[in-house]
Amino acid sequence: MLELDGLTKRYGDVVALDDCGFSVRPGRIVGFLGPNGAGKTSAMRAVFGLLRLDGGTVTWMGRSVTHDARRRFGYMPEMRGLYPRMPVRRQVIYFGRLHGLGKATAARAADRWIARFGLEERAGSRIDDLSHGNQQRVQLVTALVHDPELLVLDEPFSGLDPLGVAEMSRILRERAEQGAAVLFSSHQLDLVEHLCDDVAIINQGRVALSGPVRTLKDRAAHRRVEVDMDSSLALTPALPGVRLVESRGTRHVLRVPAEVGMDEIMTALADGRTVREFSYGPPTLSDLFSEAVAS
Amino acid sequence: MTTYRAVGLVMRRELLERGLSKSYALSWLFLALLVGAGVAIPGFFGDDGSVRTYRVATVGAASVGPGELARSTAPGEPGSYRIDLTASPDSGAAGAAVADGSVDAALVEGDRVLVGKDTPRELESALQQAVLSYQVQDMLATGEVSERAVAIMAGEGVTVVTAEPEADADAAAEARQFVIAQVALVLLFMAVMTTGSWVLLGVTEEKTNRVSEVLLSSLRPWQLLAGKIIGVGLLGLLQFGSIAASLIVAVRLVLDVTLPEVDAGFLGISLIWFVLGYLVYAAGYAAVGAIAHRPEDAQNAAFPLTLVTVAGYVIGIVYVSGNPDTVWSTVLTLVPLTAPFVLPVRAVSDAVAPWEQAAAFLLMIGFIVLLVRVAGRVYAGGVFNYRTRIKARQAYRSAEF
Repeated sequence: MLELDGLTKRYGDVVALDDCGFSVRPGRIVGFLGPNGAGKTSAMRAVFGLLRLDGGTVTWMGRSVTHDARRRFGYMPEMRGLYPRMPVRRQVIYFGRLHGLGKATAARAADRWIARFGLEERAGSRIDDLSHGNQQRVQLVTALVHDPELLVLDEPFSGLDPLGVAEMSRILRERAEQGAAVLFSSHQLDLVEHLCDDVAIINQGRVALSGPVRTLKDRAAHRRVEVDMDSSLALTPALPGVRLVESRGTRHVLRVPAEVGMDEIMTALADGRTVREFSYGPPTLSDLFSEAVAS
Repeated sequence: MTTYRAVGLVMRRELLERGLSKSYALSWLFLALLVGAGVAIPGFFGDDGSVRTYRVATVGAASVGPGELARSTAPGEPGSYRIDLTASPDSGAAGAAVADGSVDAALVEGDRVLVGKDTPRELESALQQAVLSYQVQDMLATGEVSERAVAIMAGEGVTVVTAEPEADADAAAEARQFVIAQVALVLLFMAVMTTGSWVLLGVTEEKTNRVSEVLLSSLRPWQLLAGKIIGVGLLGLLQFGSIAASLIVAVRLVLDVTLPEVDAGFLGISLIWFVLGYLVYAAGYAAVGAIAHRPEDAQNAAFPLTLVTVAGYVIGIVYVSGNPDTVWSTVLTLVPLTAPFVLPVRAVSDAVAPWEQAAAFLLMIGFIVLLVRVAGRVYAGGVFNYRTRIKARQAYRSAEF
């Protein structure tokens, strides 16, 4: 298990990490969320010893992360980094070997992963001759080529088309099922909600919310109600704590305290009006994120 | 993965990717053309069709005949040579004239040819031939026994004596080594400036295209730098070595010049300090590359180091070569940044005591190890600074490694 505990990092007056801590267990996919500048990249770099922490520890399987342990990790940084003039296959083999693979093993793994991402035709192409999406795929291949025990990916979905997103999601899920711990950051909250087992939401360098997505949603202090009705919601039900979140024509989204039951809110809404659609459920990850960041 | 393997992988990538790049091939071609032109142009223009005149001194009446024979048989055509004769009172004066270059050779008492180190081979052969022919003609005219004629025809009738005094032989060898040392300094200077800029730009490019962050997730910074420095250095050595070898071959074949023999020990010292000099400066350029934030900024950032390189070169070639025994020269031998430019020059005149050589070597090795470590740390601290150039101290302090 990867554990970040009490990470602190300052750049002059700017606090990048402020007692930041969460964990990533083997076999789980953790979505790392936060507004821009919240400290996600700093925390990820700390896993690889790429920045000098002012405080806190990073451990893997209960021990400080050593250089040898890091070779069994896979990393895709926020700023993509590949040799622009080096051909794809040679580049993948090179990174595989830097992570400890033998020459033949690295070549086999490179061919396997290149095929998996549909890049066989471009195996001999230079990186700067590839499209942005394909460069992104090669970057991910270099992080996966050595079958890492821990995958740390900074914004892996940015720049990918829907097919690429689907393929990337499948691969991350497979890696987790094979026992790898996966941590990735993203601003695509729907995607994270769909893909991740756990989330850690960071704001101003501090983890505001973390845990299994299902548990966080179930334990939330409010529920999300979506309703389509024949009139405007000027008549918001006079129930304590109910708040109109969003209103577009006849469709409305309400934030309802968890103690207000579904029947109770439905009865209040239907009072003299025709309700065409009604849904009651836990908040979305987007709701949890907005709340965590706002607080 | 062992350190050896990590460094080896980085080195191999540098060798393959840079070695197969167009820019490397072009720089090689440029140097080859430069050397080719340097050799070929004098070859073309040196033989300009004019008649060369050799001055030959004659000592004694017995030398007049062979001298006249040599003069009369000289081709005298455009592109060849002719011979002028002058009388000299004795062999001592003739030897001095040959040694100081006022005449090209001398004939002494009809059976000795005095030559100097600059005497053209064609003149020496012509004089030998003239002496022999004259003696044979003389014997045929006087009817002497044929046994002696046979001996003369076999080459025993003439002795070629070098006018250079014995005591000057060492000085001549020293002069040759001095030239070699100067050439080594020029080569080192060129190698540092060329390959240093490869290291500098290589590091800055890795930083600019962000690949360094991926690399540092699996490599220690100093391993990355060491691999890069060694790989680039081998490419530089290959390039300069092949150019030097082709230069030697070209000089021998095109210009028909026999290169002087040089003491192997001295050549070894020059080579060792060439490699050490490259390593110490390459490590410095690598650190500078890490604090520059884009390739355009790299040359500016490297200016102080370039200045030190030029200063080391100038000190070696101007000051130390003329003053190899001073205290300053000793001090400069022990300073790692100047030692590569100083030690080979001092070694020419045996001015470096064994303890100085040993101390300079150990200091240099220690300094290189330290510099690669420090450069690695500066690299680690400076490599994530994508926006502005930072100070080396700031980078050093912010590094995790």
